[in-house]
Amino acid sequence: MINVALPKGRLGEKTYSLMAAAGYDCPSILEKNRKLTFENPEKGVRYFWVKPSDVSIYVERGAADVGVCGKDILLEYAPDIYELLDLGIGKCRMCVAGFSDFYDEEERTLRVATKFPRIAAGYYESIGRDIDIIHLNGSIEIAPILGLSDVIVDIVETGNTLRENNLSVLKEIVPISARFICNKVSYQFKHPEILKLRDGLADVIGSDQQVETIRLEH
Amino acid sequence: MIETKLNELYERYGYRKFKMSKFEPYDLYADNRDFLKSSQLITFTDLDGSLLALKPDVTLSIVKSNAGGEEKVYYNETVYRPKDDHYREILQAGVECLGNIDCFSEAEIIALAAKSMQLISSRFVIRISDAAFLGQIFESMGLNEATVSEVLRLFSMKQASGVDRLVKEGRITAASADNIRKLIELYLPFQTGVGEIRKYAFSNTSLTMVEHLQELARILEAYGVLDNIYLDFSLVNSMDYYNGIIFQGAAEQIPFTVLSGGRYDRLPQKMGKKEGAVGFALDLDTVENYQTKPKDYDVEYLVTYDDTDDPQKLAALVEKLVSEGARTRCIRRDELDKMEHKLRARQQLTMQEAEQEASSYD
Repeated sequence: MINVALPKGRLGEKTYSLMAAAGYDCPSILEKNRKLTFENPEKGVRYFWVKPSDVSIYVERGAADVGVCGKDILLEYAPDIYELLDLGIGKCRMCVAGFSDFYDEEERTLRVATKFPRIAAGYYESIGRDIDIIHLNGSIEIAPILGLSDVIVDIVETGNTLRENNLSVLKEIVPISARFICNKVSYQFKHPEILKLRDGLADVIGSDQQVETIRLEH
Repeated sequence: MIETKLNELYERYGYRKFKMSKFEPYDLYADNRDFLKSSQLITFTDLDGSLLALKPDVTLSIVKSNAGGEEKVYYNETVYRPKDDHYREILQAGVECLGNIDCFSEAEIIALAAKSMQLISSRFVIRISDAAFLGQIFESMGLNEATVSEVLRLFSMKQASGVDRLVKEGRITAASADNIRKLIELYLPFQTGVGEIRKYAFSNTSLTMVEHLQELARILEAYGVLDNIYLDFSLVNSMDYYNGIIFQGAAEQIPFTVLSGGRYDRLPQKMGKKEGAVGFALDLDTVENYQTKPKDYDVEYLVTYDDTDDPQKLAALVEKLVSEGARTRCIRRDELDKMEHKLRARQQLTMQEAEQEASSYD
């Protein structure tokens, strides 16, 4: 039995749809009820929903054998896991953003607001820029507008929110997409099952097959 | 207990117990911080003003105390390391072999690692990687240092898809990328795996390395542990420390790696010794956290008494029950409900009931 941690939300629905297309469907997940785990013993899978940023914790500590989470989470928390496949869904970019006319005066410490302190610190460290990190938990875009920070480091999907607030992408740090991750010990003890699942997913992604996203109650 | 079983195992193979009897000077750890997992130490000043540290590691002390020639030791010690932003006391067991390390000594250590894991679980895996072999491969591909560290990170996460970006950036050739992807994905029973990587050995040096691994497989077979050993290059996270084989052990019921070791000649070299070294350490705290079966009861009898009971009779009663092998705890009746740490007792008895129970043993 492989335990699969699905991230709550649209990414999780897309992930389940890919899994189902790869032959790992689980009818009970479609039912409207208050169950927390969904099992298909025939296919050897058990699904459960968790908060997206918690997926890597479940996988690292072995409560889930595999799971799906964004590259942003992996870069920020650096969990000790295997990253077996790029699912190519949930695509976006980790960017530095600010006012379009922002000019970086290098003699000042740059104030950076972000939900991703480790990624931000790592990026500025790599270019040798001294920064002051302001760790926020949401509504990052407001920080430069109110003068809380000079720039922000955040995920940009369409850029609409930025544009509507006169902000724009100043630098793309790294592209982000959803990854299929695996516990390092599960990899050893459930090797054939996990590889079969990974290869099944890779086949679905690699083919031209259009996978319709299944809406799920969760 | 697992510790006793491990000690017996190591002694059966002629390893001597190494006991840390005194504190090491801070300098020992500061000078060799490359060989420590973390440079953070608990330090304190001795009565004569010299700076000492609580041991974060036992290997350094073993190598330091080696007076020359071959030495085979094992230990059971607590080490002090940061974990989750706090210092922790971690119970560690380990085995080290110092001296002129040949294939046999390496295989013996790996076999001991496998046999240690066998004591923990019937389902276990030892994975072996070779830092030197990977180094050779990267050298033959002409990768620069920055690219090597990037590639190693991909190895450690088995992230074959990450190689594409390096090709796109022109940092590795498409042909090299193909080989790297296959090596990242490689996870095979040791013997089969060694046969497989022969394909990637382009230089004489790397071919010698493959033959060395082949020889290890032959010896491990004689030790009867080959079936549980796999070849896997994702074990790259201490490439500065280890200069040859690296290995790790995992058990099915524990979601973390609990045993890690390898060949580390650089440490004795740095200390001015000509010996080589190979060894491993086992994280006993993690093992015990996942092993210890909760006891059904803390005691057989919980006997309650009050001022009307004769304490002398109570004492005699306890002696009687204990001598019958029944764990017995006594508590004043009026204290029973105030006890926060509840005791799991098979039976809770008043003194009179307990006396009847005791007489049933006659």
